[in-house]
Amino acid sequence: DEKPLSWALCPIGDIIPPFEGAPPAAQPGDPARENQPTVIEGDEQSGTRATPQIQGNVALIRGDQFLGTDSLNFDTEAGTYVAEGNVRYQDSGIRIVADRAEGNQNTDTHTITNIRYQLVDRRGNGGADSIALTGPLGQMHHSTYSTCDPSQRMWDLRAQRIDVDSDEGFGVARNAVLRMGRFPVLYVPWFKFPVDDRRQTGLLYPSVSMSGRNGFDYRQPIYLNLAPNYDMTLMPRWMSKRGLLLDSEFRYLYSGGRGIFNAAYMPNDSLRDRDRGRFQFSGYHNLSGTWQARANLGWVSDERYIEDFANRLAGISASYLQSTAGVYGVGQYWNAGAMAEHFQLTDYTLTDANLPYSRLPRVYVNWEQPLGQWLDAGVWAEAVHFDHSERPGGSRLDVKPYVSARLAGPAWYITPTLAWRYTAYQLESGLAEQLGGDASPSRNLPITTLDAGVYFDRHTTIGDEAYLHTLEPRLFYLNAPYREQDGLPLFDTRPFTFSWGQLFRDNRYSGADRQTDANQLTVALSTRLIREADGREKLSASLGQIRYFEDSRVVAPGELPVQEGKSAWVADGNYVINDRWTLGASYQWDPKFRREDLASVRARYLWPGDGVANLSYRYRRDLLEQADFSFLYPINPTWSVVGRYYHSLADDKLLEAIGGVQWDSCCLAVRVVARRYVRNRAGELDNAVQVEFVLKGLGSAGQDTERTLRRAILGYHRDDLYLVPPSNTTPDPDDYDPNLIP
Amino acid sequence: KASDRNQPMTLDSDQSDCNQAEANARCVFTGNVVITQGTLDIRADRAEIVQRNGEIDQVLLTGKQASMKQQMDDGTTMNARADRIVFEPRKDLLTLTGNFQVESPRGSNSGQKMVYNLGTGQMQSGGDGTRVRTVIQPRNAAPQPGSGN
Amino acid sequence: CGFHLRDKLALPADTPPVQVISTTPFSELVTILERNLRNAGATVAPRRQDMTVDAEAKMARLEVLSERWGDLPIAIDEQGRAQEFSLRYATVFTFRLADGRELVPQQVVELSRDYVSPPEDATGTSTEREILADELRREMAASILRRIDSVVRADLARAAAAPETPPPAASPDATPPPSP
Repeated sequence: DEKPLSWALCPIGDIIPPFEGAPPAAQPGDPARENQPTVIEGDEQSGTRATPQIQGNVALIRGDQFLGTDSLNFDTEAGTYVAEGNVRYQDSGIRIVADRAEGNQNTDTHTITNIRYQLVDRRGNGGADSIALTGPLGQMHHSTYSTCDPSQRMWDLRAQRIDVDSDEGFGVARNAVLRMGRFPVLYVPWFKFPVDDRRQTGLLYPSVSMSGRNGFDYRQPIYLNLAPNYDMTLMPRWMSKRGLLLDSEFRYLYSGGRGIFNAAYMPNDSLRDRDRGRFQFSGYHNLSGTWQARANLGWVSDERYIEDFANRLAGISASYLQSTAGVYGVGQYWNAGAMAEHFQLTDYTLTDANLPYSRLPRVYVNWEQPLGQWLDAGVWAEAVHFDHSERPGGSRLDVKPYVSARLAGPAWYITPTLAWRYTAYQLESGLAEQLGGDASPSRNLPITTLDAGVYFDRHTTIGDEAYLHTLEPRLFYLNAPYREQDGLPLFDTRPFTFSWGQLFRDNRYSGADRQTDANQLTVALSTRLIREADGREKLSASLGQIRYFEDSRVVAPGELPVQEGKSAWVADGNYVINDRWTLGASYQWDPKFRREDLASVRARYLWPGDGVANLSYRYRRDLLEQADFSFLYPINPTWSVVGRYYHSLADDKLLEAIGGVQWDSCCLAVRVVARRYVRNRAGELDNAVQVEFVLKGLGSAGQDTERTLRRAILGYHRDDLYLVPPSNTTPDPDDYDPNLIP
Repeated sequence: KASDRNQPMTLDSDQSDCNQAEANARCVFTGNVVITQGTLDIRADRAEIVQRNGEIDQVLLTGKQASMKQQMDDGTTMNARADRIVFEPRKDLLTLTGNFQVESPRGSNSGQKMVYNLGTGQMQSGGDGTRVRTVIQPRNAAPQPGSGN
Repeated sequence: CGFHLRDKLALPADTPPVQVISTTPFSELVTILERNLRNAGATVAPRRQDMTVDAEAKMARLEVLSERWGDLPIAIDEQGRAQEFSLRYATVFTFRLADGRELVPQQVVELSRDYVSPPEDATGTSTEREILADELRREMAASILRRIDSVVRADLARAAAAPETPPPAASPDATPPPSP
């Protein structure tokens, strides 16, 4: 989903405007040209009926073809014609102005000499000594091609011969010289370029770049449109300092599912003196109305693969590859799943010991059913076998039946819930010894919660819009007895990141290996401004805190015990000031130690015309303090500057800095971007200067800076700001990817 | 067709009025004039035949589109219509003026004035500020009946 | 200061049932939306398969047009390793009345929850992410129904003020456990 090419800076008129009296472009349903009558009009006609000569503003029209000329000799039997003087030819793909044209209507072949032409679709235009048209094929000799307006010829491609196939939507230039202004910049013996936007087999744009690590880096994607529902892209890549790599992608689609295979192989990468490889599969298959199979698998040949092939900060952030595959079901009152997962290390500064246990396999079911008018009953059940390459594993069964009463009125609700949690293990001997000898420890305890809240409303108007202003106080009481759990392993459990959600959870830990003991009450208040016209939230703010009536005795290794008293205050806020400004903030203040646990502020401003500025500050105690400022400022339609400054205040270290300028014009965009970013796990920074010439309509020579900028400056392509870009809220079935569901 | 020339010519109409000067007779026929000679078939509201020393010199046909149909040597029929048609057999010339329309299976011509030499097939039309128009049917498609205006 | 307890939503008697549809197959959000609507007193239409076409025509429709998940690193450490992630969940929804009129215009709701995941020990990241996902689905259902509720109230208030147009039919009260 490239940022769409903009022709906004081009002069409004066509290079060769449509000819007066010419027929409209061919519509899909029209009959083929050969089956359409030929109508010839002129001021004067002579010759015989079989071989008429027509003079004076002659116009020949057949289907979508138009030929205007001063004089036309025509032979109705053979179908041949000769047109001389002020020759103008037009069909749905091309418009031509020339001196002379001759051809044969029956075989639809035409030869036009000394021409100027313009492709109807993408502003491609130029001149040629001659063009031979055979149906959709056009063969231009000693021709030029560019999408620039003749008045400002930024670049053009001169070729001894260019073959344009408007049916296939492709042009092939032979012995072509690419000229920027007057200077020849690139000689290409053979060069294929699409002339319209359709998906076609053939070469996509090559990408050329330079870097200290790879040297000269040339990628030439080849797209194979094998069938309407499956296609393949091969990407041979040559790096002068490392060697040859073949990357490939195969996509398939059918009514019940779809999938994508990616595979890459590089024999003897001289950067590491070994073979390198990568494999990835992501796909799903609908088994029935309620069951679906999904898989998301990944493998790399070695721990340095991701870092050695990434060229951006975001590219190297992952430390492990998670592969999962499973069958999942959703019913009216339940959802369930059976899955397996496996982790592969992709960070050479860590070892396999850092990897989490793999759940191999895991079966779970979640059931909740209303019982009568006021009660809900449900059960959470999960059975998992944990496996690890370096540590002994085991199996765990966790069952939590619960019943809750839904007492509610229009302005209040009280939801008491009683749950019983039973968890049992079957540990491998090595782990059992480490944890005190019991190979099948278990734990069971009751958990009671009470969730209660009240709604206060009032109607106000801001500006001239009516808003519903709500005030929602809420209480959440949790009580669970202490159970000794030192004998239980930590397979998939760790303390939750303290947040607003934590105020209303019945456990302080993410997995079943630890169930907190608690006697605590959460007091929270939320307020909202909801626009009454369409329900959009202009402001939402919330403040909450937990009051621990007793110490919590369950502690995970390396965790501070939770003592009686007050938790940190949690405050969140989101304010949409207008359609330009949005502000967001989260803050946690711990009254016990009188210190901040979290402070994060986000501000975003949208300039008219694709401009955007993001400013964010993030502090998390003992972990990070970072500031990130990024912007794309369109000075005017031609010049825009981009920048990013992402700095870690805690380590006083720059993480990424970008400075760049973009010059845009009708047919040429030039981007110069200087970047300094953390390139590897040693924290070394790498400088890279990327220069990219985007020959609009022909391709971009030079590194693909756009992708870098889009990741670095969230919003460079405004649609990246949102998961669902506002520019297309129309849902696209193609972006249904169930493998993203956590 | 060329063989039409030596076929008998028949002529009938509602009224006829001839002055009797034999050698250079001038006759005027009015009302549903039909002249046939072999494959030649002429229809008009009014026909004026001028003879010069026993030979038909000129046939003037007018009507709410006088029409003339004849089979050509290649077997196709040619059908011409115009407000006024002048036929000069000795010069083998046909002059059509006023919204003429000449049709054959291969296509049609239309315009305001056309001079058509039946012998050589030569035709001359337009040149008087009006537009001429030729429609040629596609080679393989079945000729649509009376396509175009 | 003008705040008053939320009053009962006076829904007209002929309020048709609400049908919840999602273009995403196997959507757990639909299950939660249906439960919240039932708890709020609305009659929820059965799932599409077991219903005649004309019965379906007389339904109010809550359409979830798209559901998307995203899990982006939002903090990178000095060695370029991701330390903190933001799990994002976005839906596009619209609410139509039985006569097809769009009571709540098509709009996007995007929610996110941040979580720390130390690169050197990722134990528990998967379970935290799965629980955050469940919470995001419940929060999304609450947010969608809150928006519908406030638009319906405004519509009913306007209809009450100008009684000649019959008040629209739709679901009443917001759901019990709303959290922002």
